[in-house]
Amino acid sequence: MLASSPLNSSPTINGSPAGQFSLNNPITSAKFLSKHDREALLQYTKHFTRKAVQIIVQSRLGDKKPTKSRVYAHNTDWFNLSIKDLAQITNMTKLSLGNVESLFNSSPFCIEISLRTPENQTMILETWCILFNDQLVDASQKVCFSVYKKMSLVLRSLMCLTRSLPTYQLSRRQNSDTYVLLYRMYCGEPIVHHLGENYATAKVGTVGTPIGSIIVNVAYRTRLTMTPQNSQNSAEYCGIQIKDDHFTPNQLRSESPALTKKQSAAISISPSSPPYSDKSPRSFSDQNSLCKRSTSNLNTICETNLSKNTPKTQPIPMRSDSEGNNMQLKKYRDPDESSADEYNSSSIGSTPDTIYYFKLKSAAFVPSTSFNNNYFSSSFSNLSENDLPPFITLLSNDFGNMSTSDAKNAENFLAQSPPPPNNLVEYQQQKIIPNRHLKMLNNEEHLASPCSLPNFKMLEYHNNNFNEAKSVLNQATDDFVFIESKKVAFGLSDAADDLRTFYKACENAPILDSFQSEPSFSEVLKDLDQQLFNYESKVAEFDDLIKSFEN
Amino acid sequence: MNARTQLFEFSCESRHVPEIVSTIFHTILIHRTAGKHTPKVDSPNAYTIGSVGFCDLDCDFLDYTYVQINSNELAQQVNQEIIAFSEGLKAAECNKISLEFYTKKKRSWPLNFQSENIPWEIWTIKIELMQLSNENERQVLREKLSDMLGEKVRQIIEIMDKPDYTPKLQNQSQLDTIYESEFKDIQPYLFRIYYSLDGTVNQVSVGTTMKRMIKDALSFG
Repeated sequence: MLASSPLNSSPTINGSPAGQFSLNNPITSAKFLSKHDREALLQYTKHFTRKAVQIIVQSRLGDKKPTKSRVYAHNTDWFNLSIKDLAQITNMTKLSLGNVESLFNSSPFCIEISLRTPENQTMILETWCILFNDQLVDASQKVCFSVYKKMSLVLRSLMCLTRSLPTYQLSRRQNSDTYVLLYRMYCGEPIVHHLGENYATAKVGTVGTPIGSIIVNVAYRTRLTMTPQNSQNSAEYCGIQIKDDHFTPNQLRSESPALTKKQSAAISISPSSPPYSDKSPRSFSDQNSLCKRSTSNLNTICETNLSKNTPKTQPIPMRSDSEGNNMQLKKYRDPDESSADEYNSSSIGSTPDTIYYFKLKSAAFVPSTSFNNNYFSSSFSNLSENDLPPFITLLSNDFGNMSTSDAKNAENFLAQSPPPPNNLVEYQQQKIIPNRHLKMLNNEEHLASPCSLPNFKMLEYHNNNFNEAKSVLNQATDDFVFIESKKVAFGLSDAADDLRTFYKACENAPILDSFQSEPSFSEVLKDLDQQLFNYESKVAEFDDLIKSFEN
Repeated sequence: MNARTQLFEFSCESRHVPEIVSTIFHTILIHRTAGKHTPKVDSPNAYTIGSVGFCDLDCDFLDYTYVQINSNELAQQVNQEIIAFSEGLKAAECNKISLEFYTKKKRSWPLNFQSENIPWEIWTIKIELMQLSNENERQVLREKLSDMLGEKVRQIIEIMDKPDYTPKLQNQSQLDTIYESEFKDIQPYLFRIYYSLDGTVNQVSVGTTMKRMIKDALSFG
């Protein structure tokens, strides 16, 4: 950038005015300008430039410093404005500007405001420019009054404009732990290409003079994001470097290989991010100015930390690029990523919202598809054999509505699957009639919980016309399917029938006598009165009984 | 001579009104205030001019900080008018507030009329009150108003940069006809703040125009 400065080719001119200046300098070539006006204009321009720099830089310090209105102005209150002169800024301005006549020699004077993070990531935010245009001549303006008054007006406008730009809010929240603002001054054409895309410009004001106009304007960044692409667009100054493993979670930084820098994800500076380690040789606690003196030209480029006297507040997190967020989320959305199980919410850019639930692997009696599938209403033919829980085919209604041939196929299927289904036929021949009528819930009710699948109690008992095979299967739609095995583990050789016998006995238990005899209504009433009389006479015994339970 | 007029329109909630009006008016007053003029004893037409100080004020309901002249008297006078306007706005008695810069024109004998105020610049802010239902809308409005304020300030700066008419002080006797001398540490142009309801009669009528023409004709005598 310094190479583009015109002063690289010609040395700075120091010393008194008159004979040492270039003949093309407007301020010296203007014959209609008196010596007094010429000197006054130089003086005004010098102080105007210094005051402008003070206003710009002080507005980016991050604090509020009011100045008092005075009835009698001080010697430093140029243009009738009470603006404090910070010595450091004044010295830097003197060194950078040099002789003010250079401003009239078509060499603009620029002030650059940039942002730097503790990891030495920089971003240019604004470029203020004070330039002289010898084409815009206003002969009606008197140097000693009109120009002075207009300079005062432009400085007031500058003060208002500095607060209206987005950088001001950033400066109020700068912190040595997050980011600080720096300023740089140079002579030459303003550098604006590192302000990002769609940067905006604003004109502060124009001071018309008999020999030309002094114009103050600003170009400022509108997109406050830090991307690695900035380093590709800018030359050498704005180099944003990120760590290779910047976008990987902490746990994976030692495992996964380094990410390429081509990822166009934005860096989100948030308080939750891990603290930066200040590896920069420049300490942010150092309040002294840091100057680099270039040997190629006589101008001094100074980078000065503006974080002095800044209150420690939470910084404004920069808006992260939506594409970058998607790229980060995409990385963790891939179910094949083994890192999914190791996802850590403390990773940069991660929030609880970015945690995605992956597909559940197939487990026993749990479907592997989405939970919203209507498991009962859908045909089982849509599911593969591996997706069905064991023996579910024995309980399916659809399966019960199948044709005879299908039922025979089902029998064959059952025959192939352990245990052998031959005993089901015997089960049917004993005419075990289920004495419970179970209703199937609505399809919607089935969706309550996937863990309820399969719930054998939810199946319906049909009274449709089934063939023999179907009736077997429907009768088997009881609390459970009784499948006998001829071979019983650790049992005797004839123990196979014991369980079946026991079950049959339980199924065919005799009805209680109290349920067999049904007394008449009048007998019930008589008996009821007697019962009530007995209970009321023995109230004390009942109370003692209850007290014995409490003890 | 007709006064320059500029209108700014905002749609906001009632709590935003004082900050919006303060930002606009104080930004204008910064450009329309000079240092305190103190006449020199030894020279009748010479005076010393003081310096103007500044201070930053943070808005509570907007993400904006505006600059105003560091003068308690000026701030108090402007704030009183803004508060009265806010109350009138809530009561639907007014919806526009104007900052008018004027010059005084004295009358001579025999028609010793009172001095007439001739405006040369009028800045008007028209407010439309909104009622929002949730905080999301308020946050969106906050951001929108903050950006809009910045745009309006830049617009004011652009207008101030134009070489338009501003009263010039020819001699010391004209000081009070151009500048406000009540403030002890600053010297703004003569200004007044008034508010009105959109649609009410606050315009120059034919009768007042004829009256002014007659006065001007007689004043030449």
